[in-house]
Amino acid sequence: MTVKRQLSMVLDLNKCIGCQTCTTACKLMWTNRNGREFMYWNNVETQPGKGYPRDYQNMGGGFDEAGALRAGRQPSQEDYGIPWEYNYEEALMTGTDPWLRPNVKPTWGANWDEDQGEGDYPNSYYFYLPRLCNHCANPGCLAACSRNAIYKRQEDGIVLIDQERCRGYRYCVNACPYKKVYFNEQISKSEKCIFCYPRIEKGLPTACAQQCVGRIRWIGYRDDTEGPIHMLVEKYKVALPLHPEWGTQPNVFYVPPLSPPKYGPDGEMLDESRIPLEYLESLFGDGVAAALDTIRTERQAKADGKGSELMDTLIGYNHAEMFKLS
Amino acid sequence: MKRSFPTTTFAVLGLMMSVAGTAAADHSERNPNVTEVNPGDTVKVARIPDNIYLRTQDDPDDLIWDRLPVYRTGLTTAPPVHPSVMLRFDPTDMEAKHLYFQVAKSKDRFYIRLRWKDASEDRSTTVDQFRDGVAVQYAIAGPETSYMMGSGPDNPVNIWYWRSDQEQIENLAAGGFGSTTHLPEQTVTGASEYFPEEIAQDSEWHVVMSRLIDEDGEHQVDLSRDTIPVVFALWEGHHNERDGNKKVTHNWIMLDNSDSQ
Ligand code: SF4
Ligand code: SF4
Repeated sequence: MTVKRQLSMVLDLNKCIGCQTCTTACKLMWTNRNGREFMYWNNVETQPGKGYPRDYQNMGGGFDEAGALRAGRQPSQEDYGIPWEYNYEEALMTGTDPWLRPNVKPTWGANWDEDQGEGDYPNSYYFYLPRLCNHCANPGCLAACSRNAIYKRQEDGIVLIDQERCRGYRYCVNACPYKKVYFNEQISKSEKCIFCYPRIEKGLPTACAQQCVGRIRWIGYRDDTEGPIHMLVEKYKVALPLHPEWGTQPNVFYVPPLSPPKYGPDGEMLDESRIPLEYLESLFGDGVAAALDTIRTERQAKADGKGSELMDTLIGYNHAEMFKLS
Repeated sequence: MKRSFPTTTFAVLGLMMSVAGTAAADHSERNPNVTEVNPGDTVKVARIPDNIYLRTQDDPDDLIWDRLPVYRTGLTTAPPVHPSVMLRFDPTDMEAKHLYFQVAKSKDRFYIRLRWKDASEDRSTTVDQFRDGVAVQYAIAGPETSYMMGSGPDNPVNIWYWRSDQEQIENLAAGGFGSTTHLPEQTVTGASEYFPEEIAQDSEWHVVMSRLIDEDGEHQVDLSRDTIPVVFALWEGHHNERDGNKKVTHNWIMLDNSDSQ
């Protein structure tokens, strides 16, 4: 699907602290009301972990090797987590209920397995993976819509659902392998991340990127050879798409996380990173080893006082350089 | 992006359509008061006498329906026309679904009553549940119009769509696949009732839809014509049916709407 220009985001997983500020920014901006309460257009999940919705990586969708849509499974409400509220008023203000408690029995939620990860002490590991719609170049959601209700904007490649045309068939929910389209039961239509297009049109970055405490997010156009996206994705190839094998050609990229070495049985440091390379490759594809090497080398260069253009970008000194929106 | 359609599907369906009326049906009820109707057949629109007063306009269980002729037709799986429908298409499902229908008009109103067996009452539309539904589709022009959602914008169809999650009939038009559009004139009324039975398979939906005969609008079917081509579509929410995943009448049934007796 060719568009005139494509907006893109890079997230450096080495810098994400899992604070969920991005999640909250997005929720307050778009999804804390009107049937969207269970939706997280931006979520931050702990990996290895089940993710959000629960086990989404095994729900199918996307494209097969021949380029045909792959069948997917519809997540249940429980897979997303049923949103709950607390009785603050009764428990803390009027004192009519001695307990502060949620109004539904919580059994699962978007970050239910937060900070669990894998492995045994001292070799346990995890990292945070913030996820949003990838505004894919070959969107599964768009291909699956029999109503032609999903489109990609020519000027920036943002993928949107025309709410007038949507008739709530949920083919898109099924077809997006990242499960980044949600069905709003209140209006019987599907909704998704809009890449904060009303902000973008004013020259502002998305809410998740603007508020990011760890300054891990860069936004820019793919074709801007002076911009951060080009440097991280094309020039240094340190930013990689999540699950490229799903065939949707994401426009959100991740700098994979380095990790400390593993400990041997006698407490000695092994020549093996804590987060297994194969695991990272299962998420971000073949480019992981080379990307991690480049980051290590450039980090050393910077530490040695030799200077590194890549590190200066990844540090993210100021927002003006991180967000190139023209 | 590539969209693949095994071409054999259509051949299989062609075969299936020709046996639709006689294929294994969802039940074997034999009722001498019911007339079996196949696509291509003509059915008379009954006239409700002027001295009969309907207490509730669209009562799906009104006594009047016991006095009017009942027709039955077999609906079979619609041929998939989009990859998403294809993905959910079960070529082994040859079972015809029986739809009972009655058509009648009063001096100023046109009624259609539909009844079918459905073991589950699926009224909700949630993230992973689909609702039951039924639709009546009319050719705005003649039977040369494609019974599959019309033949393009110049030869459209008018669709009355009842969905179990609201007591309100959607008045729609389409001119080809994916073009279904809500009409500015929402002139169709209706009501439904689900009748659960001890044996779940015998439970039934009854739905009545009606409209004033005199209505204007480019995409509203002219109900004063002598002949009106009509087809039906049925969705069972329990089987995740929606959109093109449905059972349909494969070609027009002609309604004889003339005043001759
Ligand atoms: S991530 Fe999913 S919802 Fe977003 S464009 Fe890609 S396929 Fe569509
Ligand atoms: S705000 Fe930034 S650092 Fe915090 S969780 Fe989100 S992406 Fe990570």
